[in-house]
Amino acid sequence: MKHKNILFAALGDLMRHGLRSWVAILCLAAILFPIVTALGISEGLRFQAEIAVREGADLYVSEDLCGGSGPISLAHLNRLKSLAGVSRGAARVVGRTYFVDRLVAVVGLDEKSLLAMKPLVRGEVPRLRGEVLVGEGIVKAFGVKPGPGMRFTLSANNRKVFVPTGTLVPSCLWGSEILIMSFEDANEFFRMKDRASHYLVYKVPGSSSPPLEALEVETESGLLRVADRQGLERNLEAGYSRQGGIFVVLFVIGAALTIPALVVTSGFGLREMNRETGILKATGWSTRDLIEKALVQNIMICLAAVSLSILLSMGWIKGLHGAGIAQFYVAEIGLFPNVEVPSRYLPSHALLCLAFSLALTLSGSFLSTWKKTRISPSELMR
Amino acid sequence: MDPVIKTEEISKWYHPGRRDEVRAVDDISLEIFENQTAVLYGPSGSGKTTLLGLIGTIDRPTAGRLVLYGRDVTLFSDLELSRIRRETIGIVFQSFHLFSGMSAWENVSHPLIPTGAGVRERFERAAALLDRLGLGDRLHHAPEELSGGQQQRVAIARALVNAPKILIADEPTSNIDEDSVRTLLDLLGELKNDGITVIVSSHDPVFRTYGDVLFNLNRGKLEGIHYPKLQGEKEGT
Repeated sequence: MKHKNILFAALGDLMRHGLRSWVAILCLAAILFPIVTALGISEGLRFQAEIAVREGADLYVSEDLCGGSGPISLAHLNRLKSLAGVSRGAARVVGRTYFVDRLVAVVGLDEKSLLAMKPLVRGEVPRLRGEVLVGEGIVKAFGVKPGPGMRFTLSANNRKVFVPTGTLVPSCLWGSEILIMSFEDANEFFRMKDRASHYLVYKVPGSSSPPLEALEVETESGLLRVADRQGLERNLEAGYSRQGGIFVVLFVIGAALTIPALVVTSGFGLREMNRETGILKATGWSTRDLIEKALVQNIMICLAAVSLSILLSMGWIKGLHGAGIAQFYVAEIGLFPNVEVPSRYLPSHALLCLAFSLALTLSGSFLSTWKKTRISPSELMR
Repeated sequence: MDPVIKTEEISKWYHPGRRDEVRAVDDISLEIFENQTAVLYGPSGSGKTTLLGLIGTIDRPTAGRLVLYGRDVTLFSDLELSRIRRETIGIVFQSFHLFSGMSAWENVSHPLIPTGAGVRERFERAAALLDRLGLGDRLHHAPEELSGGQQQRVAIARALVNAPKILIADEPTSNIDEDSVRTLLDLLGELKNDGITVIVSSHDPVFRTYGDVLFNLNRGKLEGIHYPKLQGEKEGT
């Protein structure tokens, strides 16, 4: 009952000193907001990437080029398709070019893959040479309206005129600024005669580890490079961890500069706090009771700050597309992104922020409360 | 009979050893017995409030000893002193020190929170005390909505809520009107009848002839002890 009493007394005090409580909550939320937003964007991107990898091919095969991945000769395609355990193989071209002043992805797919995209397309999928699907980001930014009468010219290794037939409704960030065309068009556009960026190899469903012995032999001999789904997932994890790490380092520097500000603001109403602590001690509250009350108040303030920072973060990502933070995670998206940035919030994010805010408040106000309890009540009330 | 409160050469110095050293209480020894009404009397700056703070255990002495009910509490831990303040001593401050934004009954019942008393019990005990002190119709009023005399009665109720054996009141007449002073004196008399030991600090002449024993203080020193009811006098120790 005593602890319940102290809990309600702490809550009552927070409401009684509403202004002071709000100042503390807002200061904490201002510190937590960037990290919550960064965690949300990072997790959103990771989640989308994981789905893309999961729904993609089982193996991505390319040629070894100076120890890296290079274009693969189409001569390998039929051989790969006929390997045991392979249900389907498809060549793909992936490249980048400028659409006006914006760097966009260009993907060339075989007919079957293009037709499979139909549910994600507003308009028609490309069926003829020179037809292209346009990402929604490009449509919005440049007013490209797919349909008859619209055409544009792209330049890379080649100049080519394209007719947009439909808009790709992005299910992920990467689908926003993209041009999708037939494999042949992309192949010609990038002048990759008889070559593809890589082959996508799909295993027979239910088959165990790939019985692609021939492929393994060629991989070991250094002719081909094979990336499997697990490998891609590991790379994704490492990539996001590194980006997250860079952000955290920058954030910690920022927070270190913010803590003095928090300490100053926590002094807001300090005289009244001291007086009340003195009265409580004089009327029989022990140091232990006061520390318990301060702890409960800190936890409540932190919970409110974490909730507020998550709400602010959601608004920031939905309304301002994660301005100022998304650029840490998405290359060339800019300070003020004009496309929606994916986000995903997990309970672990809230717990991490709660722990962080508790560490901040405990090292600030809680410590000062403990110090105050060591001072005689008459001195505190003076 | 043993005294319930005994100070032995107790002192409270501020900034000791420095040029601006202040000897607020200097080497005072006194004894107060059970159910006595004691008055610490003296002009402003005589050390009354400081001595009251030492007796009430809300301040620690620089030197000397404080003995409560035969136990030397001078070196008691913070936790032990809290227990004494919760169970044995009730304090009424000169400026009442009520919590603003909290109703009268919440102010009165606040010291009961760490005792584990439920909200109903706390309300009933606070309401009974406030009713006894004539504030039964002001239970839900905040201190800002009460007069000085009413605020003082709320402060007295708060000091009594844990049923202390000793009640300490610092300058109880300084912030209230004449009518409230009469009410206060009647109330202190009632508390004495209830068996409570009452200690009052004041410079108000009304207390010169009040109580069982009067300790005359000046410049932090005990200058004399008077027994108004016996019309006698014993020189200060």
